[in-house]
Amino acid sequence: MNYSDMDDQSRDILKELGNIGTGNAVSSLSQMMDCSFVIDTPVLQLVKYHEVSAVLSATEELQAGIIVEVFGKLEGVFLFLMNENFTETLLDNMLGEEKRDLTNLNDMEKSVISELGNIMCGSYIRALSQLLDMDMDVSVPDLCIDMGGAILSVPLSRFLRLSDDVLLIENVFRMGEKSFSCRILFLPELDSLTAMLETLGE
Amino acid sequence: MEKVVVGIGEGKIAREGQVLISYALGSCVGICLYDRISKIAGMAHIILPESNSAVHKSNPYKFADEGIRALINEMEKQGALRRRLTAKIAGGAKMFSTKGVQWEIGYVNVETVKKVLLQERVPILAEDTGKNYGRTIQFYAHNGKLEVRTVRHEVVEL
Repeated sequence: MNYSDMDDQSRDILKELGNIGTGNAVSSLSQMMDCSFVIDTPVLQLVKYHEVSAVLSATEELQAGIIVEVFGKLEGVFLFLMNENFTETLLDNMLGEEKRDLTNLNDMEKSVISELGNIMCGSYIRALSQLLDMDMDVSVPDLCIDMGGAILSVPLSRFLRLSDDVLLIENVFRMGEKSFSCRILFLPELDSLTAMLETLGE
Repeated sequence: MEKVVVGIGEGKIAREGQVLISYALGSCVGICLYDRISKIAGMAHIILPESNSAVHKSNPYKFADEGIRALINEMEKQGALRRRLTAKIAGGAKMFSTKGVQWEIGYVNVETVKKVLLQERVPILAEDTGKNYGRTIQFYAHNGKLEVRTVRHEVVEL
């Protein structure tokens, strides 16, 4: 099977998985931060590698990226990308309002962001794991604050060894205004994708 | 000055009056070749080290080894002389500190680029590689100057 061979039903299933995962992740975040979020409709994108940078509107824009690897029955990579406004609001909310320089955060600030990624990824994975009845483990989250495009190139290079296409299950959620946004990208390995669809197709 | 954007997995040629740009290089490497007499500049934005490590190989500019050779050929076709070519390279960062061999792609990319340039006898005049940050690069065809921009540091001129 190839990513591009997928039929409409499989696509719908994956979108729904993304929705459920994101719903769980966002409700964890919402509890922690005591505020509500708007979740946009999920997008399932089969992207050619050279079009991946178009996923982000501005590749040079500063983003906080948290990467988590998933192992076990389901394998893949999660990437959370938070824009500058979102990250600042998050830190203000958790640590108190302060003037911060995102390119130069202290250890406490970095660990808050990583932990948040950990919790959200955990919720997403737990939802998928229950739904699919598959055991999964996650790696320790790793944080990078830099140009969005540069962050995205890391998981990309891993997938491009096997395919010219990358499957992205993308969910964007926002705090009220559009300028405060975070996206969750889930990039499943091809084998895991097949396993997921088979489990749900039964 | 006319901008020529080199996307991920692309290779392009520019002439006097043009500038080649690659945005947000992470673990990818930007290879900039220059013939100072004909003022022909070439840039490749490679993602992976060697073509034999991948399943799909249709596009040479995805890879360090084939990308460099394709870029040299293309520049020669447009009038550059192989023996006059010099190289400047940037990128190949390790964006995440995660351990594990499969995340060392930036380092492997840079090493492979250097190895292939040596094989092709193209001297490397300057480099800004490795470390842990993204880079946007601009390569000017009129003088072969390479500018490297990052989010945390001053602009570097190579």
